[in-house]
Parts: sequence; structure tokens; C-alpha cells
Amino acid sequence: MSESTEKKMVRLRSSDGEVFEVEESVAKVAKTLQDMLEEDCADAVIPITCVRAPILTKVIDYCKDQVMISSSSSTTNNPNERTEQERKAWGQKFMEGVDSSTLCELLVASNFLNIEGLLNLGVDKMVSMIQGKYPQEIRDMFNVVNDFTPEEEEEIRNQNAWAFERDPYYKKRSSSK
Amino acid sequence: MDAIPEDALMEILLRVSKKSRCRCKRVSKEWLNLIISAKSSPLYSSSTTTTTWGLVFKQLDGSMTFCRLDEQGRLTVDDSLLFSYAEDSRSPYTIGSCNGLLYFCGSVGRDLGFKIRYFLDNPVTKQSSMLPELPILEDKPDLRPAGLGLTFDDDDIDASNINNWKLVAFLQDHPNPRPSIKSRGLTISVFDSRRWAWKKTRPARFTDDSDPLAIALPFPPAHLEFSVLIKLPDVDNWDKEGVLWKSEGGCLNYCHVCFKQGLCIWVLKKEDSSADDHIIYWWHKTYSVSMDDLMSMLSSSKDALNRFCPMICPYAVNEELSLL
Repeated sequence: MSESTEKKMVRLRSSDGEVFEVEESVAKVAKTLQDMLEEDCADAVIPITCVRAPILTKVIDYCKDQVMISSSSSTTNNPNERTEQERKAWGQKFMEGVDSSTLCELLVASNFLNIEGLLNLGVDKMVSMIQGKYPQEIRDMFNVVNDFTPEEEEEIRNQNAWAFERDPYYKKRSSSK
Repeated sequence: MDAIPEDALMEILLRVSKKSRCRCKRVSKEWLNLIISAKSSPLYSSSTTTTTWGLVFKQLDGSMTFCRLDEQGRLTVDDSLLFSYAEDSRSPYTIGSCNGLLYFCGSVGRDLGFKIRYFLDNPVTKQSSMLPELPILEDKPDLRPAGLGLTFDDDDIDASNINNWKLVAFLQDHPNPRPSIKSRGLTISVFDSRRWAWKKTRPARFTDDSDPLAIALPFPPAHLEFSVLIKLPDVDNWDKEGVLWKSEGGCLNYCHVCFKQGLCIWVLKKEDSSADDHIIYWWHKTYSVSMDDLMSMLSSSKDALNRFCPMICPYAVNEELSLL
């Protein structure tokens, strides 16, 4: 845990041009970066073209935490080690207050950088956000364009509504009947 | 906003509840196509195969309570369905299932004058629906259901369209011992889900002497083929007080009930052996529960033990419906 004399630093540039300097171990949490670093791109500034600075900050926070947990895992009594429950709680706290657009960007970033743990947190978060929601609510949340014609939507609705679905957001758009 | 990576979205759609997934189909074409293609995912099959059993318990005050028992052994009481104890002690009865839906009929409420009504239960959405009253023929006020069948329209473009179903009710004059089939005076009435109404009743006509009510029982306990083929599961020397057979979702369900000991549900699984053409059957013990546990789950007193009603029906959920 003591400050080692020289830590290799890596520089990352977000899509909006901000440069972040992080320890190599932190960057290597991202499998994509790990591969790049091992293929010797050491001194260059690595461009993360699809991730904006605020998102990259969050991603780096996540990676730093992962390094913190794993760094002393070899020692017998690791104070940073978490139980399953603590891990869950931490994950929830980490994703707390993340809105739908940030969540989308986080999913894209963790997918691109190949950070499985963060991707899972994002997936969990999104599951909890769309669970029980009506189609229109989901579209609004995640900016999904409804590309069904009224007839197509009615058709899917009919196939799946069974006898019970009562959708307050659904207004019959077609005038059949 | 960036589009959510497809793999992540697929994972998300596999993880939400079935009902939510069904709603997600309407979000956009991309989402719909993902859900359709999700069916071939190995994650999909493991996450959506559900079997739920419908149980009806007779309470001390004579009312009937409807419960659902899932594969994890969770028992949920549906308070919205309270049957009355009618003079016909078998009510609710004629329980069956098709395409994952459970159907049954029962007498309801004093205020409804102990009328026999039909119900459909969807184990996935955990909702039941009471169908409108059967039309009664003017000259045959005693007409009552003797057999019931749930069918799904195959002639539809989309055969899996679970919104199109029909309930076929065979009605007979009551009381009626079992005279020959021709003189039994059966009447048929069909309920159409799309019109949400019963069609007019009409007398049943049979082309031969086959008994439609006998056919309605898929596997009577002493079914010759199966009693020879398959040994019954060993239920720890329980006294047999009630057994129920039902084939659904390609599986034969066997439910064993002992009112002192509890209930035990077995499912007969079939496996096509790749080595030769032999088909292997084996009993898969799905769920068993002691009567004490059952009563505590129902928060019913132990005195109710003797009045436990043996109405148990297993029903399986087919793949299409499990998307609901």
C-alpha cells in the first residue's frame, strides 16, 4: 500500500478533448486498454473516441475502485475486501443518481472499453429502470424512436396484451372498427 | 444519445420480467427483433421456463381460496378469487389447462346467487379473469357444465396468438346419471375471446358413440399404457388420497396429495435418446410441501386440515406465453 517510487502513468483523451492521466493498473481494468498497452502504445495519448469527459471520469472512478480492491488481495487480511452484500451495495451506490442518458453513455463506454463489471452494473441499473414501465415511458427515457406504424403497433399489442394489459399511455392510433 | 450496445440490450431484455419483456416488444422494431431473436439464446430458455400450479383450498368458513404455487415453492394466495361453497360441493371444478392458461369454473358470491362462472388464470401475469355468465336456455334452466375445453385458433396467421382462444363448454341437464351418450342431451356453448361473449348454445351432435367427456380426461390414473410403461414415483409410503394427472406443455404432470402429509408434484420428463430410437421417461420431483408448511403459508388454522380441498391442477407455461 505504500507509495511505490515509480508508477507508470497512462494518458487517455476523451471524445471532447480532455486528457486524463491515470496509473497503468487503473487503465488496465479496461480489457481494451490492457490489450493496447500490452501491444506497446505506451507513451501516446490514447484517444477514447466515443466517451465524453464526464463519463470517462465515472469510468475511471470505477476502475480505481477495482484496483483498490484487488491491489492488496494477496495479503491475508485485506481491509478492502468486500462481501457479496457489500459489493452489491457499493454497486448500487455507484449507480445511484445516474440518469438514463448517462446510463446509455456508460453502457457504450463499458462495452467499448470492455469492462465487464461496469457493464453488468449498467445492465442491472437499466433492468431496474425499465421493469414495469410502459413502452412510451421507455421510449421517452432512452430516446428510442417508435418506428412502428399504428397498425403494426396495434398488431403487437393484440398479440401480447391478452385479456389484462391496461396501458394508460396507449391510445389506439388506428381507426379500425 | 448513443444507442445502447446490442449485446447489453439483449441481456437487459432477458433479465426483465416476462411481462415487462412483452411490453418492451412495442418500444421499437429493434427491440422487438431482439426479443424475437432472444429465443434462441441459451439464457432465454433457462430464464423463462416456468411451471405454476393452480391450487384451490377449501377454508373453514366454506369459502374456496385460489392459490398459485410456482417451481420455487412460493405459494401466493389470490385474494381476488374467493369462491363460495355452493350446494355442489365439487365446486370449483373442471380444472384444466391449455397453452399455459388455467381454466376452471366455480360458484361465486352470495350476491351472485351461487352462479357457476368460468375463470381463466394466467400464471405469468398472475391475473384471473371471470368470464360472463353462460347463456341459459329458456326451456332448460337446469343446464349445467359437464365438460370444458380451452382451444386456441390455429387458422390465424400467427398461430401463437394467445389472444384468440375459445372455451368450449358441454352442458347437460342436471341431475343426470350417465345414460348412453346419445340420450344425455348435451348442449354446446362456445366462448369467443375476441368477442368476449358466449355464442348461442346449440345441441351437440355426435357422429359416433365416442364420449367427448371421456376424451377430456387425458390421463386417468389407471391409464393402461402409462401404468405399464412407467412406475409411479415413490412418494415415501404416503397414503394416497388424491392424485391428479394432467398433460401439459409436452409433460405429464403427476400430483400426489395426502391431506395429512402434504402434497407432492412430479413431472414426467421425456428424453429422446440419441443412441437409438428409445424414448426415456423419468420422474422429476418438482415440488413437495408438508401440510404444516402449506397451512402456515396459507395462514390457516390446523383445524382446516380436514377441510383441505383436493383441487389441484398443474399447468405449464409454453414458450410463447412465457413472453407475456
